[in-house]
Amino acid sequence: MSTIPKQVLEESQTAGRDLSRFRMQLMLCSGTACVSSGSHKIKDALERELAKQNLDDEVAVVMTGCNGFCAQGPVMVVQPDGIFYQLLSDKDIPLLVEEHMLKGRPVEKLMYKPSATKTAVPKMSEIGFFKKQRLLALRNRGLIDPEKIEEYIARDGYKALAKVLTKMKPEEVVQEMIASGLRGRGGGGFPTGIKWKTCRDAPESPKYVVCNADEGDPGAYMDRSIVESDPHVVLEGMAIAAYAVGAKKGYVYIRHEYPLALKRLQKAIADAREYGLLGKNILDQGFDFDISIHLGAGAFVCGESTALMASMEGRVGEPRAKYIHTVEHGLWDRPTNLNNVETYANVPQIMLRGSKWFTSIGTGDVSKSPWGGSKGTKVFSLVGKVKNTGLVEVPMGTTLREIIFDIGGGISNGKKFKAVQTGGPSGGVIPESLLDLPVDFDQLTKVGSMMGSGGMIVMNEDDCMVDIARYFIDFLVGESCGKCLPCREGLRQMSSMLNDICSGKAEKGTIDLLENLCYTVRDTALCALGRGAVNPVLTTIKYFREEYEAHINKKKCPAGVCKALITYKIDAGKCNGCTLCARECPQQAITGEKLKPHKINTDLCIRCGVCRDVCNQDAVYVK
Amino acid sequence: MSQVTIKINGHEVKAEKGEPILGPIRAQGIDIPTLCHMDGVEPYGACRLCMVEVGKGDRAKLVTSCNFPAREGLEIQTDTERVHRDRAMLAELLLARSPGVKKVQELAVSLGVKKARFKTMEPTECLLCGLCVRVCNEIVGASAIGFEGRGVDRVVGTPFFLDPDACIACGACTEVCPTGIMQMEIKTKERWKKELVGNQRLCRYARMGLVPYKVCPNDFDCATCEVDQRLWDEMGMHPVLALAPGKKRKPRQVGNFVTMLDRFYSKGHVWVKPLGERVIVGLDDFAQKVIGDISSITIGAKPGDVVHKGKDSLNVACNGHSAAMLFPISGTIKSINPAMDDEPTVINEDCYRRGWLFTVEPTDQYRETKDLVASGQVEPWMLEESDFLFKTLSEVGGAALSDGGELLPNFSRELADDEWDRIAKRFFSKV
Repeated sequence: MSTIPKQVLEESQTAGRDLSRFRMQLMLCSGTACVSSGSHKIKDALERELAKQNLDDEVAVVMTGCNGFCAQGPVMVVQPDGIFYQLLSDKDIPLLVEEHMLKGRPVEKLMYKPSATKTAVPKMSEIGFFKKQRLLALRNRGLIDPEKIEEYIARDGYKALAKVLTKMKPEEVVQEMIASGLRGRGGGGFPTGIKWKTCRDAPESPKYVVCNADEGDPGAYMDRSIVESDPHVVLEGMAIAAYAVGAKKGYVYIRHEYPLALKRLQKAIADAREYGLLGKNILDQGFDFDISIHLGAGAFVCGESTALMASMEGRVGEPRAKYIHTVEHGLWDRPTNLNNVETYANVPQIMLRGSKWFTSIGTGDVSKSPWGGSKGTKVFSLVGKVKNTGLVEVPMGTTLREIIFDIGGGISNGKKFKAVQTGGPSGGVIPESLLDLPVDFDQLTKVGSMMGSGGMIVMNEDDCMVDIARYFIDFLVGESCGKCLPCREGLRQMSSMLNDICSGKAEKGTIDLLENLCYTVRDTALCALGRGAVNPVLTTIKYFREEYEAHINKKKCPAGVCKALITYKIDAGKCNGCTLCARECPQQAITGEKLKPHKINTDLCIRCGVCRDVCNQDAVYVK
Repeated sequence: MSQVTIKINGHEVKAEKGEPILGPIRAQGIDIPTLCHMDGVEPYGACRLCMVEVGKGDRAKLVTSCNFPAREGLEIQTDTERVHRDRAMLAELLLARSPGVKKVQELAVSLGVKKARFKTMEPTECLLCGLCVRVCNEIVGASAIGFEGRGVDRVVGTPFFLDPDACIACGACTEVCPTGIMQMEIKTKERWKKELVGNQRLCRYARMGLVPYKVCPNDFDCATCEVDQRLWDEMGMHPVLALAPGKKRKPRQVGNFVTMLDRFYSKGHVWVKPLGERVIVGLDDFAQKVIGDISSITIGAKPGDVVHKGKDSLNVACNGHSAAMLFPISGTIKSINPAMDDEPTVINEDCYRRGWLFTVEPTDQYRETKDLVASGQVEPWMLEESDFLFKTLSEVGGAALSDGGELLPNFSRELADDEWDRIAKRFFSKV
């Protein structure tokens, strides 16, 4: 595009040349998960070893953002062949460099082996985890160094912004957004284009655009990964939104617990300013826009739009009624367009390739209204009792079965699938009978769950559904701001009832009372935190009522989780008297002679489960 | 404000557009229970008891009537099964929280709840309706109390649970508490009795700025004070609630410009707001609008420097022009707003709050603020300045600059240097 300043173009081409100078590029993941499993050590080892073999002129080591296959970290992809190495340790590096980089023989023992076939799959594109994914928001993951703006530009970065600024009027951008049917990826699923239009039409000024990166759901890290692997896409999306709604100032509200994402974002903003892609008169088109970062202090409720804005204004992070929308009266009472990280990450591609292309992916028909379907892709963080935990991006409409079994590789340790919880603490639990449900905004809502921000927690037969509901309610009791009565008192009572059920103290009628309380809290709570909190409880009651009844009527926990309702026993037929359990038991509750079956004193036992974990003979069981 | 027609339980009723629907509903003689609502205080929506149903069929939803704005054609149902079920459940939750509070017991009975099926975990008498906090903040303007903690650990308290300097011991919080448990700890008063001498012993109405100057004649015992009693009699309610000094902190539109009555203004359109031992200084809305988008601001002094009222100046640059504005108060500069370096346009966005310029420790605050424009003088002065501005504009640039009494944004861009200098001199080079 001729409008990108010459210097920017030249430098990005140099960056491309830079990498093409090398015959081989080692794309080493440096997302938070891989960094914590040692990818920096591996980088040092690689560089040392490459220098030793005199390959440092031919082979480049590139630290990329999150690759997504976090379960197998640290991971590395060798380009241009696309060979995928996993579970690396610095000890493997000398062998790897000598064999693959020097002699050209890929190392089989470091490749991914699916548990079903046990044969190594060399190419990343052939691994089940990657095969069914379609990358839009994460399209640069593992392909660029997130700290180099040139590499982003070389991959069509800021091209959408240039197109929008030179060829489109703000109204056209808004129209294109509405036509694309993109719906908010932060949880609510509100059509982004309609939000932009309302903000653009609001009479007050100045206007603001804000990016919500206050991701707080337990086990979810989609937004962190996008910011870590491709921070510029968020900045570009925000700049386009600012142009569309008529704002000059943007803020990213990001949690301070994301140090790596924060660092990369700061660098990205500084680089974009230096290149004239943020600041005054962007690309000589007379458009001013700049972005500041606001650090969140870690309150879950501050992910709610009005609480987030209150917190940015320096007030207590509490929500207010949204009868007057934040797109009209938001930050400092001015029209404010708030979108989530993943929503912004989709914007440049939509502007570049057009709404028609975008609507070809996904479900439903959005030609009449963006509410008509769910278009594009969604990033899920697939965690829990699934083999391939990690970040996956799939087209809307992919079934739960495909995500969990084809991409996720099924349940780990040969256990049986029981349920999946989508949408974070406010999402519902979906049972096996609904595994063929196509995942989109409306289908998930229909079965009592929600898309949420994209958390997906897989549970197996060892998970107690009452305990799961209790866990999420306890989490939310701690995170409720306490402003409105139903959320503060209602969640406290729900937690008390669920804890009673789990400890066998609940009486008949508790389930009905619990359900009724849930209906009231869902109707009356002030914000989505309280209104959504009932979902895990209501769905577990709906799909697993017999488990609740077993806890209350028979005082039994069928999954063997709730400590007050289970006893550990040793199978005398299996026990060989190795004394391992007796030595490990913190309560000295296990007695027995060497080489003879042992026994557990149930009065002393605190049901910690250590004996079962250490037993080699599978002799300890739960009753 | 325009009128709209809304339907309450099928009856058409007129209401002001945007007004909370609770008023019109109650005007129909319909009883809506509330705990956290009080006329004259911003709606809060915390107790959720005032829920009513709006909309029809599948799209019907429950909303809090205390803050749901009236709009044309809105249909409201106050008497549905869902409303009753939810209110009763809320009353049960309240009863479990505060079984001993009479107000809660009465409420429960009126909603048909005899006994809470829930456990009482830590009985407490405070319902967290937040009236005390909001009255202290909005009506009194003291902001001495607030909420501490979150979720079930939320309590009302003073900052760090210490004696707050901001408390003026007015007792408005105890007056509005629906349970009667709010007690003012009189430690503050005891300290005043011990520490303050002579003319430091200010009457609470002087502390609030309601009377210019008055020494307490009654050893801070307001309950037996004649002055206090006379005010009660005159107003028929707690004088602080009637006088509502905190309401002055709200922005007020005067002609084309916004003013705030809680501060002083120099005639050169620089405001001064006392804050403890310091004062904050900033540009007013008039200055901001006339100057236009501010590109840079040079304060010409750094923290620690001593500045003099009417002598030293700060320089504001915009749209190719600049204006020298005089310091409205003498003293030592204590801090400068960090936003002035990289985004001075924050003054255009919010000149009275985020767009402050610097703080000063004044040498003689009382004497120097006496000749600044304050409280009752602000409105007539601002109108006068506004008229004068339009007159000046028509002299220099013709009517094109002022579009039918409305100021065009950034009109200063259109002015020639000598025209601008005339305006800057006339409006900003004075104190």
